[in-house]
Amino acid sequence: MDDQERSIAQRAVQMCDVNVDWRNLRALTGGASRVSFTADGISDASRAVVIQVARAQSEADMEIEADVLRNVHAAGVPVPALVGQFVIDDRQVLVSRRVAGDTVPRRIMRELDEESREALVRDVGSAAAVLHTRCVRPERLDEVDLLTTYIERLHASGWSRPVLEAAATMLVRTRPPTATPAVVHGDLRLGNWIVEQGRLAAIVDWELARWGDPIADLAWMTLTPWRFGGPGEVGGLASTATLFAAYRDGGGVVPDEEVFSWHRAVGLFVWAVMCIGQCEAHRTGARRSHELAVIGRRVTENEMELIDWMTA
Amino acid sequence: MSHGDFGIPSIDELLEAVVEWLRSEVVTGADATIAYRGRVAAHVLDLVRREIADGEAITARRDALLRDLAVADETALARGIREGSIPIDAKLLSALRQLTDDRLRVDAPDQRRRGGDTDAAS
Repeated sequence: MDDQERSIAQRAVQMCDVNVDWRNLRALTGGASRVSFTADGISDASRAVVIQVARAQSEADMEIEADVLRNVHAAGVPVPALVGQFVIDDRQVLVSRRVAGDTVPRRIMRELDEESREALVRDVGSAAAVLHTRCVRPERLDEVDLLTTYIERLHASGWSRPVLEAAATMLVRTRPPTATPAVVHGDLRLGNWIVEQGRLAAIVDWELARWGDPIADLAWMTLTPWRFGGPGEVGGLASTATLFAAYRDGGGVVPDEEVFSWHRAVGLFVWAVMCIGQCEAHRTGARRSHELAVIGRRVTENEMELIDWMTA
Repeated sequence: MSHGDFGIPSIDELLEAVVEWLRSEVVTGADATIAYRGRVAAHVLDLVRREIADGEAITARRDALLRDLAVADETALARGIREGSIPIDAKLLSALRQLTDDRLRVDAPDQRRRGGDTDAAS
């Protein structure tokens, strides 16, 4: 399985850059829907690439993701440069340059002092503002209503979760007016930020990008699981006030508290349904793993926060 | 009880022994991926131990809450909420809070302590 993906990744590299050492591919931590590798430049370090290969039966559309990367880059958001996008052996493949830096949340949190934590969150706020106000919509990027989509997924999952049902009903009932739609990253949280010397070097992992309400991106990065035990509301690093100030300075429209709290509750709901999906990936045999299985038990912590929102 | 009485060693002692091995040898190993999966495996077994210890009492309390809401099981409760036949009122939310808080004791006790006022259900 892994060998097949490695071979696909090697062929992709050979098709797009002969100055990359494709023989010495290293596997990176795999995501839910894709397997990633990296390779160094042969004589030029800046040639290093990351190759993402969609897993079999993945619904990933890397053609659209490539369009997103191009537009986002053109808008001035820090992202890895796109090198090539292919379909090899019926698998989608995306090749981009490797950006130097760290993505591991706990290490980033440990290594930054308070001043750099603030600076990093300001960087993220500015980058989000650029993304949401200046990025041109790729033609084929679908408009997605997050809440509707994930209510459907909950019901398709077959899981009976009274708290999630109550939250879904309350979220639909109290939905605020939608902000001006924009290109939304969809998973803009610590872990998808490449951090170099304490600053944001690039935003990665654009597979969940959509056209939709941009406030969702801001709310998502404040969810408890993305705080990794740190005290700050945003990625455990700094306050939402810091994030909002940078977002406003960058031209973004900051939501009022109630609207933000609604979007945050949608985020909790979405993450809970994603946990169900990951557990089901194990249960259905798509990807057997005790890690995925136990994620099913993380639904509970989101349910408690949703109850807090419903009773606030 | 979903398990019998086999004397010594108990299920909990057996699971604890595996957890100790995972934490002493696997989690500290050189291979970062195996170490990480070992840490997750120890977390899974600790969760299972908590469920074996408290699961029966928690499920009994859940059943009492369901009876109080006049539904047969969680599926009926979920369906009733979805279809609007069960109103989302203070009574329901209080029951859901108690159910969820109980489950957190097994699923994520750290989260429960961090969560603050989770005993407020009444």
